[in-house]
Amino acid sequence: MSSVVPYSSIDLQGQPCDLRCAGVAKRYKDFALQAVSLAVPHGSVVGLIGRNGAGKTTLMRILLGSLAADAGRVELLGQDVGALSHNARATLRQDVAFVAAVTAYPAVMTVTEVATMYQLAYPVFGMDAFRELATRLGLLPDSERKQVRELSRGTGMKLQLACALASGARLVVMDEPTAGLDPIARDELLDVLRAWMEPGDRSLLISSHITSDLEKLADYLVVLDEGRVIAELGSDSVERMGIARLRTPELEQVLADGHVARGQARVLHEGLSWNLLVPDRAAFGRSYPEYVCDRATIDDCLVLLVKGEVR
Amino acid sequence: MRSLIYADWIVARRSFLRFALVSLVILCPIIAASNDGTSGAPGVMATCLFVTMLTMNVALGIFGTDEAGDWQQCRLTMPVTLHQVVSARYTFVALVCGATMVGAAALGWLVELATPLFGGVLTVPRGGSEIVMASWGMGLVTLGYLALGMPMLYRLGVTKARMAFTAPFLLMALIALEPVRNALHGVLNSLEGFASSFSSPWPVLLVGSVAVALLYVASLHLSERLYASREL
Repeated sequence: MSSVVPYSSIDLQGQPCDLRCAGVAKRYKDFALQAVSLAVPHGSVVGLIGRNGAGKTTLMRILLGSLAADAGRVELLGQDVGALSHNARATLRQDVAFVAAVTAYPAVMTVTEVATMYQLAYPVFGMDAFRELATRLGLLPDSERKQVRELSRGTGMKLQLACALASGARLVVMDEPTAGLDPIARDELLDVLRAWMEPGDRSLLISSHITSDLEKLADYLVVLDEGRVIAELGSDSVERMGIARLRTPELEQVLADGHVARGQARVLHEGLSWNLLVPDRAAFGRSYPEYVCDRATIDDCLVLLVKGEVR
Repeated sequence: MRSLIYADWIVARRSFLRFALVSLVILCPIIAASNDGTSGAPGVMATCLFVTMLTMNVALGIFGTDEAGDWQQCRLTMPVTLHQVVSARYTFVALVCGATMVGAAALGWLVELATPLFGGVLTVPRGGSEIVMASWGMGLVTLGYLALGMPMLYRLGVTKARMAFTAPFLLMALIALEPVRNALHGVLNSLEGFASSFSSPWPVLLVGSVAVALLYVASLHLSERLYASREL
């Protein structure tokens, strides 16, 4: 991953990655994905965040090979996808599962039939594992004979999740899995994901608008905006970040001191003060003990990185 | 590929009951009207026609499912190739067509057996082999028609292609016009004359089967290319 702004803090050079893309581009009439590079290190959870229309779903579809990119290179489980034959790509996808933002299975299929379809598609799909997960998520036994069209959004998502995790995949890509779910369902889903990640040899790329979910789960965060990566953050670096509430002269002083490099700092005017995104809250507090600096949430980071003015 | 055929089977199975009910509603009056003491043959032929038409209904139904709820994008994230996506569909449609040909012959034969029980008279009694030939022929026409239409469905998607795909059936309404009816009679007479020049219709059916099979394979390859060029 390359540094984009001073807040970026990930260097994954030489680290084994289950998914890596470089310079991925895709142009539409009104939108373009621009030279996107990201990596999902082996055994880690990477959160993809960004506004609606930032390009998250398009990027995920390219990474999974269901959409062709105009340019760039995608490496899945150590193999250059572009260099593989169609059959080899399909074989590679036996180790990769996808959870879409909407439950996209044929509407008339029942829960059990969807699981059977997965069993036929993925050679190591575990029907017992599926039943166990589905029961844990409250999908079975009540919804066993229900058709996909009869499932609520949350139940449909649980079905997708149980299928994906039971497929034997080493990498799971999830597009907005928690959107529209109530807090209890979201919590259950995150618990299941944490348990699935426990062995340490599996990886997860997950996009979400609900950044508090990612705070609990992700090791790394990639911020996508208008089709390009604007920041890559480790979860520890987010914990270190702060939002300094400054008046104009105070902001000028901080920038003049070079605490955050001029030309790269992100600020947002709010009421009578400025919010400045600070990479290291503790260090900032030591340098300016008289200024207010709160802990930054992922939402704060996202808002400042996307909407913030560059100073 | 088995997973895709399985998905198609589930979708088709659900639509089958609906089609069977609609067919029954339409067929009953036709069979009853043809048992008016003159001839039961139209009922037998209509039965064969409706059963073979099931293939068309199934094909449009499963293509429709592809576009509903992003299924066609979702299935490409599974361990399948584009070639498998298309060939699984072609395999399934061919299997359904084969099954409906057998079903059409069996049901047609049952209707023929039942016709005299309800006071009908078969002025042109059809033996089992004639019903088999009729079902076979109708199945071939259906499969041939689908072979011509499926590349269009893969290129445009069912929403855009449905009208063009079903337009020939709407044109059948033109049969109500006398000039069209006369022209159709002329064509049918010519075909009958051509068929009667053979001592047995079986060779014609065999040659027709080979021709439709070749057309179907060519259609499969064309669909693959068109589907690959389509951005989903």
